[in-house]
Amino acid sequence: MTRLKFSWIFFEDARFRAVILLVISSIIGIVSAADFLEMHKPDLIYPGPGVTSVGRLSDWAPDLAGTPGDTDIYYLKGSQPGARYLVLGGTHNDEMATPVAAITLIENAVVTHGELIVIPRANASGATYTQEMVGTPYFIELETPGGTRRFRTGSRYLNAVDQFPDPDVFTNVSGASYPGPESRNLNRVHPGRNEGHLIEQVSHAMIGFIHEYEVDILLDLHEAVPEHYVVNCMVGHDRAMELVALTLMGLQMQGLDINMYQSPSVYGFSHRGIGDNTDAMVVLAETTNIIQGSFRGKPTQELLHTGKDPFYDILASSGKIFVDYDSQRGISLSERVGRHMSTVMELSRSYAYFVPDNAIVIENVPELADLMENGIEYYLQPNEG
Amino acid sequence: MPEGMIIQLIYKVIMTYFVVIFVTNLFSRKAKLPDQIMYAVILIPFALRILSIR
Repeated sequence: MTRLKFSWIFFEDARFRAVILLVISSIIGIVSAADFLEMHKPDLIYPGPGVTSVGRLSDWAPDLAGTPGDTDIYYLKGSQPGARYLVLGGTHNDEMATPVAAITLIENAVVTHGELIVIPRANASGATYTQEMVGTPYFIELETPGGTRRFRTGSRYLNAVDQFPDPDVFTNVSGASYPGPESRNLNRVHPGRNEGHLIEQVSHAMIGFIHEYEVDILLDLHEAVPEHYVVNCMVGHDRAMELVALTLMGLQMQGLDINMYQSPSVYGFSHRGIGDNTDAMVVLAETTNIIQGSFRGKPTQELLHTGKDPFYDILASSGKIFVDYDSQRGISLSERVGRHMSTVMELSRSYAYFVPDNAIVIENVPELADLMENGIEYYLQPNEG
Repeated sequence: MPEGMIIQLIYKVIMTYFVVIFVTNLFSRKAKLPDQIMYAVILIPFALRILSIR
């Protein structure tokens, strides 16, 4: 009799039903929110023996302090004078090899001459969410000898909640027009504006830092889809083209399939926007990331690790992509990080060739061959757990 | 107050308004079960959106 009465209340009393449903939706909401807010926690980075200090971009642009655009800067200063070399990872956070390469530098590199400066998440806000409707995994997990390391995959844009709303069409300072969300793309707004939107303020702060700190070389790390021609290549500012050419030859002698382009005269890109507005020699490097491609299958952690996707065999066999691809071999994260590490090192060696009095000498950095042999996991510091 | 913060505040107020409407409808004496389920489900993304705006 009691059970029948309960059923009657549940189905007939609207307020009782409302309470039950509100509790259910609250539970679902809390569980989802926890997952969602997990991405706001910064990646754990273990500064290696070469790191001499850690600062923030807001040290150079106080207006950025306390905003989601502020980000960490790692300084690796050598005991001998030399060039200042800035490496940017995470300009586009979904280009996963770039923050991982930057973190590998922070945890391994030792500088004897000059100073290496690394910003692992140039667009820090972009690491706090993944792009809508793409289905990218939130994190990539790497099994290091000491435990599991986890890095956020993030998005190529600034988080939409940090800069809202997007225009229908975004026209940058150079007059180039892009779809609205590109107004949150760090590599479309250089040289930025101090009084502009948050992403423009980040760009402006970065240029201020490069100028004031007298950075000599800047390498902006990127990845691209295999169906785009700017892939497995370097793009250099006009003043950096000789440096890029020598670096290219060095990398080709190591067996890398790599190309070079000169920066187009359109502001927005780092090689043009930063190159024209600072004294630094600006170079951008691209590798190939299959999971970003529009032809790929399910975007899983495994695809992020291995880059093995049979759908791309179809494009490769019909010559519609710009890289040699075989899904049996794939393009692994280790290979992509390795290419970036080799580029970082070769660029420093080429600079030393051109400017021997102001060389930068970096040691203890694994390059492509090392990463292909041991895997990226081997070079990341053990997890505390 | 910076322009971006004003827009976020307005957005937050609008989202909160919708949440209040949905909760009011959820507790309406005349509401039917399917409508209530719809209001309970639609509350989740709206509440998450408010959470995600600084």
